[in-house]
Amino acid sequence: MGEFVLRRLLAAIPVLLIVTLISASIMQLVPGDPAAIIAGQGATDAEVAQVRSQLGLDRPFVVRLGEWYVGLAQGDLGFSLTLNRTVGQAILERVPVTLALSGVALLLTVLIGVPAGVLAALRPNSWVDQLVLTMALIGVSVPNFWLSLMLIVLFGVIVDWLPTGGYVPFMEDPVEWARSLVLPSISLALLQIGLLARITRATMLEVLRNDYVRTARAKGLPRTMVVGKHALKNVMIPVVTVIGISFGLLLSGSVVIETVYSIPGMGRLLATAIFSRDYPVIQGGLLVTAATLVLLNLVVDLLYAVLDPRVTYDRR
Amino acid sequence: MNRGFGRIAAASAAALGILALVAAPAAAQKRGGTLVFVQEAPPPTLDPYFSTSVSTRNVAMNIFETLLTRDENNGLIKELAEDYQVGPDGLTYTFQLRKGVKFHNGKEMTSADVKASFERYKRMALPKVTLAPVAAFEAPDPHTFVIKLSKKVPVFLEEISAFVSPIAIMPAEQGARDGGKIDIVGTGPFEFVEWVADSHLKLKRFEGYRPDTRYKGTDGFAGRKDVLVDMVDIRLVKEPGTRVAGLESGQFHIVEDIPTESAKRLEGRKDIVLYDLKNWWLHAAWVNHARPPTDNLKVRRAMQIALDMEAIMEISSDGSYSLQPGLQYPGNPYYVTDGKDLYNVADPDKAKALLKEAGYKGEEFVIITNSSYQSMYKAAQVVAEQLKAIGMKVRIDVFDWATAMARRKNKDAWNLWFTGQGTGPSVGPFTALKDVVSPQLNQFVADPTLDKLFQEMISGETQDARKATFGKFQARVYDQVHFLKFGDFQRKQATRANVKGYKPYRIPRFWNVSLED
Repeated sequence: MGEFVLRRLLAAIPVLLIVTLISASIMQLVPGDPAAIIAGQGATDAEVAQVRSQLGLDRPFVVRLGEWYVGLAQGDLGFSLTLNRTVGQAILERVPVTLALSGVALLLTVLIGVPAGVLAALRPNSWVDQLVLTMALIGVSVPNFWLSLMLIVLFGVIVDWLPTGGYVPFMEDPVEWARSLVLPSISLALLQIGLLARITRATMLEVLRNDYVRTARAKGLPRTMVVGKHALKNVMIPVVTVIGISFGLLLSGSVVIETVYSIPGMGRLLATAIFSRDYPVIQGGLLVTAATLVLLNLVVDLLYAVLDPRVTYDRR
Repeated sequence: MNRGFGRIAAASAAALGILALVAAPAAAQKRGGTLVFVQEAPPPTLDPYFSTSVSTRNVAMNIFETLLTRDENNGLIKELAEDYQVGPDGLTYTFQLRKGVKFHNGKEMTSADVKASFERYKRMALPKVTLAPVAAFEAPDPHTFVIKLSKKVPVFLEEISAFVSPIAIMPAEQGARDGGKIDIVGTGPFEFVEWVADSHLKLKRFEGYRPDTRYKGTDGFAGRKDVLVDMVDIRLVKEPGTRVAGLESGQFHIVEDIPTESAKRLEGRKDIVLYDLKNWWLHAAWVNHARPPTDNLKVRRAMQIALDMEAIMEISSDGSYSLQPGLQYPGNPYYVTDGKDLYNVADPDKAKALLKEAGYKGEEFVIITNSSYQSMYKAAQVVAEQLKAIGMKVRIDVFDWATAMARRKNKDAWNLWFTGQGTGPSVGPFTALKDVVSPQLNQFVADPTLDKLFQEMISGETQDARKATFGKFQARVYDQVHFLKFGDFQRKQATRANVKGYKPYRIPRFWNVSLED
């Protein structure tokens, strides 16, 4: 197992280097000049050129990229062109926010999506099943920015229970932290809940038709035990895969939610950096996102071994 | 005795009256609380020398101060300068500095700080060209600062008081810092606390701030600045719906920009006060003189007289606009209406005839607009339809702002490039209109007459002379269609009803603003 993990981690290094190389090259192909953004709309060409020179952006791309890789080898992701701080600092400020938001959203996804899917599968075509399928369809279909605005109007303005936006760090005020995450995580989770419920239902229906389930029932085992112990564990293999993908999507797909709720997370950091052509932040942000996804995939693979004894990563 | 007592009583009453008057703004308003102000865009930097963006000034103008600045009507007003004199030769400017002014780091401001700030500005500021004619800066004593010019610049005081990139006074030890790498330390009424990118900035009352008692209240960027709130929390909220929701729920106190449609809905609410910030933004487009078909003056004229500015502004601003031909805002000392006969002509039949006369053969007319500023995007759509209606073949290219800016430099890529001018037209004609004169030339082809007029304008000895030349300049801009002005935008702002003392201005001023119960 240890060797497997090590091999996977080593294999990730060239992957990450290729990601950074491709992202840096693509950003160079996209027109736009960070100096013009910093200088502002009223700046003349001469003023923009002055900013470009002061930021060192007038040097060749290859030289700047080379310097970035040298810095990376020393653990330095560079200095942001627009945020007045190092890229490392900017990312460290954002990662906990995005992890909190995605983590709570994932928790909601799993706690609602899996039981809803199981319940629907146990009573196919019943009203429970119809309800779950309808809710799942709504979850998948409703655009999350619209849902967010509706939730803000309802819970932030009309009944005034929750803040309309913003983020409060956990260490500053745990209660406000939780309150600030309720609406964004629901908005973020709804699509994933719908998807997960449908996948769980379909997989559970398939598993319940298997001989071993019928045998277990014929042996007189209680239904809860058959479903909870025998069937669910087998359902979890594809479900864990989907959860892994969902978490990846939650981590990288929260740009809209972070914008609507004014949450300073990784998604917004990257989106703003792309619009202002803040190359070092884009590079560093994508590297961290890619590394997180690689790690996530590894965790999912390791979970397979936990859930299914037939899966093993030890060499024989 | 009685007479003596009477005198004392009268003097005491007068003194009390003066005291009451001086203390009036503060006494009538409550002190304390955190004011939550909401703006859309994050500042690219807080170094005021290193950006011309509004989002930078929104914050920086509450932290920093300048020697001279602009009053409520854009006239010159003294701030950190106690007084100043211009030498008879017009080459020496002597400033006496206010005494007892402290920086946020506790140090007293002296002429050494002013000198270092001006030197840094001359070395690296975006509009450093403003200080190019300076031969020397001198600090003969701690409270006197002298600027010596190598040539006479009649508009020098107007230029150094302009706030596009203000010459903010910072501690001398920052003089060698590069752009964007300063400590945020000024002499203003608020001191910098923190900046969490994409989330918020926090400012707090500078306890060492001594209001300028020469004035009675807020006057432009100067005046008597009493700090009534403890903290200002500047939230960066991009989504308009969230800004309005936060205002309605009471979580935000001042929102600098709300959609016109939301403002209409909020009208009549007792807990919210709506404001119109007039002359916020001059909506316009650059016209390319190098690429066919707009290299032909007759085609440009046809385009100019075809356009119905009312329709363009109504749609692009959702109804918050005013129409006037000036390239300065009404009320500005340089406001003129020369060239008005060519503004908002809206005569498509005449335009069609002129297009035929120009020999237009269906060459593609390319409009570049952007998705980042919805008003520019919408205006481009209306302009395109109006030009199609006179028989032009129009293509619209929509980019994000950064890409659109990059494309602007390519003279073969466009005919009309959508833009807007906010601060430029409010600080005088010298800043805003340098874009159409050499060497900038956003229209790509130099107009020697226009260049000559610009030089004549900035070297005019008196304001009247400069204004007269500006009239000719503006007429020339219309005559040659260097720039296509659509109209002036108004901005809708809103505060909670318990916010007292807020006066809309180009930049939000947090001084003299209080939060009542």
